[in-house]
Amino acid sequence: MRVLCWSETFWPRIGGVEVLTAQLLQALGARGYEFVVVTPDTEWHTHGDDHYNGAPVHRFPFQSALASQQVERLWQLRTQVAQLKRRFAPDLVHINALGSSAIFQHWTAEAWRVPCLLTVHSTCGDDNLQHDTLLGHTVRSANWVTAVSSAVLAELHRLVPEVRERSSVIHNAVAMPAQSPASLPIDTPRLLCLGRLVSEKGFDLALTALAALRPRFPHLRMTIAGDGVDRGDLEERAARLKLLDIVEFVGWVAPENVPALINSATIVVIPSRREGLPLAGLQAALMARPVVGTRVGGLAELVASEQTGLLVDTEDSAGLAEAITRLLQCGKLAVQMGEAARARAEGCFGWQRCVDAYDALYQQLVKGG
Amino acid sequence: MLGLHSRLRRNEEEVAAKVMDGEAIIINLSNGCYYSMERTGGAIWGMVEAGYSLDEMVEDLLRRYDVARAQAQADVQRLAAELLQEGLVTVADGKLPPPPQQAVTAPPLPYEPPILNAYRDMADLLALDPPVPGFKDIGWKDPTEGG
Repeated sequence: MRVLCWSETFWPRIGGVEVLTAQLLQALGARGYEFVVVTPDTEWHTHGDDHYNGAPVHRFPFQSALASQQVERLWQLRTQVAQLKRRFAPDLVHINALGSSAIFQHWTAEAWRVPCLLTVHSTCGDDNLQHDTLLGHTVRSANWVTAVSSAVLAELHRLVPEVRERSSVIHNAVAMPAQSPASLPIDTPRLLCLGRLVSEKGFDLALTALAALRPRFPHLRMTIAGDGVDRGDLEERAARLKLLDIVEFVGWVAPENVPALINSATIVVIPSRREGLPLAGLQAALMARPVVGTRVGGLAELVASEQTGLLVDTEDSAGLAEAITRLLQCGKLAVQMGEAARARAEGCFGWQRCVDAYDALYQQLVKGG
Repeated sequence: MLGLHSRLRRNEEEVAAKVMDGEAIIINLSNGCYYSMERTGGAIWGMVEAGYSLDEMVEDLLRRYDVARAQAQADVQRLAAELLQEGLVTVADGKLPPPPQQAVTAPPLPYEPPILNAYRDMADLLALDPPVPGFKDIGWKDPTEGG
């Protein structure tokens, strides 16, 4: 089966969508699926076409063309995408994540008419799925919609009730890392925040919590891994809170190095304001780390509070500090929760289950089921 | 008042548009809103650009598509009102040259009511999560690469 993977963001960019898409391509490619990837180009990756895991990757300047508002340029791109579709002749288009590039999928849907699967990683507000929005069109025109968590699906159903009968949850997952979990560093505790440095991840709240924890835990350290538009603000905040000597901003960490990074941590902190189903939480669980996070979106499905981690309300930095204190004061509890998290991740969020679900859905959609 | 004798003109100062393969892409440059129309809608936009009156559009649809006059008339008037409301067209003043007559080959095409698809979130989407300079410093391996 040939699948055109339309990914709003893709390797080598780092993030949950990118890692999931790349791993799916690899796993389904091994099952005989043939993929072509269509994705927007990036400022560092603009040289047109390359390959990932043997799949051709076509990077188009979608965003810059849309921002230019030049109809001729848009039309040229539309023609190129239509030609690519006719050449590859996919049996299915799988749109991974909502974004502006999907307008070119709409504009070329007639050029090669095949079923379309949309995977929604998060929704962002009540207005963005209206009938007169691109995201609304994308959801409504898909033959099937998968959400990465029950929370995302429930929000989708509330905003677009008509997709109720053609939608389902396929929980995010990550392949089991080759590296084994290391012992939790209890005596020299370290908190880890991992993800894009953007407001929705709430890492500012983690810094506030760290400032409150410092007097009680003088050996406590924090690593913030990732990058994004809010990095400068976070570094300023760390300086203002006099935390620069105990907080390390390490920038992006390649996915293959994430297990080792998590192994260096005692607790993974996910203080998000909004979440689909964070891969950082799954990766933490697979490395037997307890998560202290917020009761938001799919995070509340991933973390069984009081069993595999502790959840607090969003924006509650005092609650975060209190939860972290509980685990730092009782290393045994932290270890128990980490081990329970790993067992739960393997059982409920297993990688093979995720791959099997996409495999079955691809077959069902192409057969017209 | 918009009547069947009215002609529309693209709002040239604020609107860019193109029709190809029967599909229209329209951009309102003043507010960043994108639109598209396929099939019948694309054909009607082409007729707007060619200076047809609404009446002439209806006649053309009747020649080309399998559709009743009442429906074609209602659809053309509805779409014209939407285009005006969106600021994509204005009512043309004065007399325009007669539109070119297109040869029609049988059989008539199946008819679908024209739909103006609006994408009002494009500006917001393009502003979302802009790239940061540090992105160029990273990279992770394709599993098929060695090392």
